[in-house]
Amino acid sequence: MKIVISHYAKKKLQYKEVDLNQNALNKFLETIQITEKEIKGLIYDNSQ
Amino acid sequence: MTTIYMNHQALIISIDEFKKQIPGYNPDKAEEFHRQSAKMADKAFEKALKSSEFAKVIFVSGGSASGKTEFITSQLFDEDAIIFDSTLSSEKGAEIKLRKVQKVKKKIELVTVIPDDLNRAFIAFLNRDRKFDEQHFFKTHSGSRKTLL
Repeated sequence: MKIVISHYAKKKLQYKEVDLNQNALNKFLETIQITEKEIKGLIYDNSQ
Repeated sequence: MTTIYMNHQALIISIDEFKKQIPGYNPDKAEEFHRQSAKMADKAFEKALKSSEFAKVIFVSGGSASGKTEFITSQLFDEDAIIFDSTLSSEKGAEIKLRKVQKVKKKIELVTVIPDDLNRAFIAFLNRDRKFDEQHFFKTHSGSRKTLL
């Protein structure tokens, strides 16, 4: 499995691969979990 | 399979590309065409699994407007593989697809694209031609990450 983070730089979308070994992968996958409600909260908190 | 497009060597199957093949498709109402285009992509995927000689399948997953399609065209265009461009926001759907690949004994790779900033991705989501209800954004970003677990 490969995980890449997309980000904007130099006016275009760029990608950086997350460097993970198998042990770190599981932990990383847990850290990126987010519910629909949390995303909605994040978006609307920032729009105010 | 006219809606599958060959990009150098890779055979790319994209649900959004299939939408363009549906008579009457209107990007402003993309959501209304999503179920049908997803079914078309699934059928094309099955056909490609059975009939193509590619030994590898790459699933490119991630929430809506995370940059999957651009990643495919810029980074994976010369892969000798079937590439399925999908959010994989349903665990069940992902499981079914993986089983189908395993059945034909092809190698599986999963690439997930995660935006560094959900707010930035949300703005991209709102500004693109294909229009979906914002719930689609929340659902696909949450669902695709859950599927990874």
